[in-house]
Amino acid sequence: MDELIYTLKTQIIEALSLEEITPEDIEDDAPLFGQGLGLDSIDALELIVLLDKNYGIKLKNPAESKSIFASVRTIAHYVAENRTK
Amino acid sequence: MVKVISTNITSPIGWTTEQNYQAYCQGDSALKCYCSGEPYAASLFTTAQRAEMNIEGFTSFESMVIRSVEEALSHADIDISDSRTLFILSTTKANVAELAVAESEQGLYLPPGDTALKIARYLGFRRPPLVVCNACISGLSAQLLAMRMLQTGMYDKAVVSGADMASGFTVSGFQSFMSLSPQPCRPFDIERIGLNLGEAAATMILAESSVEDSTSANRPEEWTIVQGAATNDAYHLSTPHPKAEGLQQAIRLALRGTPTETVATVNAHGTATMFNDQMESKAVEQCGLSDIWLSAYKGCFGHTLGASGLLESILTMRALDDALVLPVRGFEQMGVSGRVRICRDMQRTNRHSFLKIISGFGGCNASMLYAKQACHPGLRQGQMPEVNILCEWKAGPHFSPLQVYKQSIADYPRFYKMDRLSQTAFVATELLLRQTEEKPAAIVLFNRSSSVISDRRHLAILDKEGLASPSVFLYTLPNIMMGEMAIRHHIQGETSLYILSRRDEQLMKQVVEATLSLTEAECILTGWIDCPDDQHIEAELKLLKKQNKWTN
Repeated sequence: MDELIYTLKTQIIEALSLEEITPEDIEDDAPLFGQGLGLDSIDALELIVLLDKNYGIKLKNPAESKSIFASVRTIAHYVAENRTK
Repeated sequence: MVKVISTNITSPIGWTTEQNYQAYCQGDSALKCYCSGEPYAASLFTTAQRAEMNIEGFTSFESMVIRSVEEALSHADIDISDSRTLFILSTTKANVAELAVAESEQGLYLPPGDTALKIARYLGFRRPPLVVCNACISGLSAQLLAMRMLQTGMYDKAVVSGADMASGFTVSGFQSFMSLSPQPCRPFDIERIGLNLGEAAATMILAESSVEDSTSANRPEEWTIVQGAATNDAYHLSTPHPKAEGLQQAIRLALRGTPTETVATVNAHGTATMFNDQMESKAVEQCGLSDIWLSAYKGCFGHTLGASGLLESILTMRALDDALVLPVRGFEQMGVSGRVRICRDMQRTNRHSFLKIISGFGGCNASMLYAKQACHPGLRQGQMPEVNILCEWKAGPHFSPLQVYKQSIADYPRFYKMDRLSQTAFVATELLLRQTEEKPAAIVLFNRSSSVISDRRHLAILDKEGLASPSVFLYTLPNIMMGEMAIRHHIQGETSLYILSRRDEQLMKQVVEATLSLTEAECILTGWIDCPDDQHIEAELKLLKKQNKWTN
């Protein structure tokens, strides 16, 4: 799981152009949206593409993604359970 | 006062305004589901229709615009080859379907300003054309520009045409925003799940009211564009302001001095996305228009992007000629919380004016009031104001937005998400506004290459990964750079981008002067921001202020 969390952090940083942030800056359980990294709705859409591209996960409903995108750890759990690649 | 001499709508359900109006009344629509890959519904021309439109040596987009303008001109007894007629093209992506990742494979692709010039020459216009590129509000922006150019006396007539074609480029982009509906869209309905793209061109021929034309000479009343306004939310690039403050402001400006009892319908943008329709309902309620019929046509035509602000106003005029307000196709059950009176079934009306409202990516909103009335030659309105240049900034030959950002700005991490065009505009604006205490109320920018770097990047990602990146697609709308500027500096007035085939200082000066003379903005930021490729940047901005006659 730790390895997946780290990989996700690097993928998120790259996909969202979080230029001045390193994987170490992102806490596993810190909220990604609102506070935390201050991500917005376009970033959420970009994360949906990221999961599709890298893990073959298709999220249809942006509302459903809210709980999945709560923190890097929640994403990692969802990926671990639902990945098709 | 500006009068509407002639119109055309070219869509998959008709080649003329009349055909489209009759088709709408009969319940026709070309919306259907396309299922190669992720399914989406759209209103697209058939292969046979495209072939019918096509003109040799011109792209489908260009041919469609030419057909629309020619048909509109056939009802108008005017000469467009004089130097007092302006051609304005409203489009979000023009010829982008012809763009290839590699420059060497370009074929018939031209940047939007060059496309407009090619069309203008074919049609016989003598003056250089202008392209208005403000995402979804372009159609109204183009009419606003035309109105100003006519009212200030710079031109007598304007041919305003709006058009966009759907292609993998736009479809994949809207899909990445999860905003396309696989079924015909349902504006304002509780079950709406997204928009449909639609292909169309729509043309309005406008003249200043003192211009005589035999077409309207024997009509007691004519359609006129009364007034309009554009604003920016300065809130978010793709999500409308939840309280719709920007749209409210645009509506209030367009309705100034007009009793709402005379308004037959508010013709909404009604894209059938969750956010847009909800936001519009709030704006309509807050502006006291809850009891006026709300109409919207995207359940028939889809979202025709650069054409929509023209197409939907033209159709509303035609319906009101028959004293009718057209029903909202796809609407069944109220799905917005603002109090609005949705026109579910065709309604009769004896009112002779209507309000068009529209909003788009980049935070922009616009609203326009139209009225059918006896048209008296009026005085030219625009008083050319005395203008002071408060400050200027120009990029040197080795200008690097990234370097400047790191060295002397460094407090705005969003910078790294922007494309090269927005980064350039962002840094240029910072360096300009540092020289002064003044804050611009509006932005008027010009360029030539549109957003071609992001356009190519979007295509390259599609080629390589098959999935669009929503953040890259967003920047394929070049007006996004002004959305970034508006958010950073809280600029809530008009934000307009015009694309030219070359840096034509005289034409740019006309646009800026017409804007300053006919808007409330006292201080505007204007200039040229162009990024044709990764090696070149042209950036030159200045801050202009109207001179106050009463002090010194």
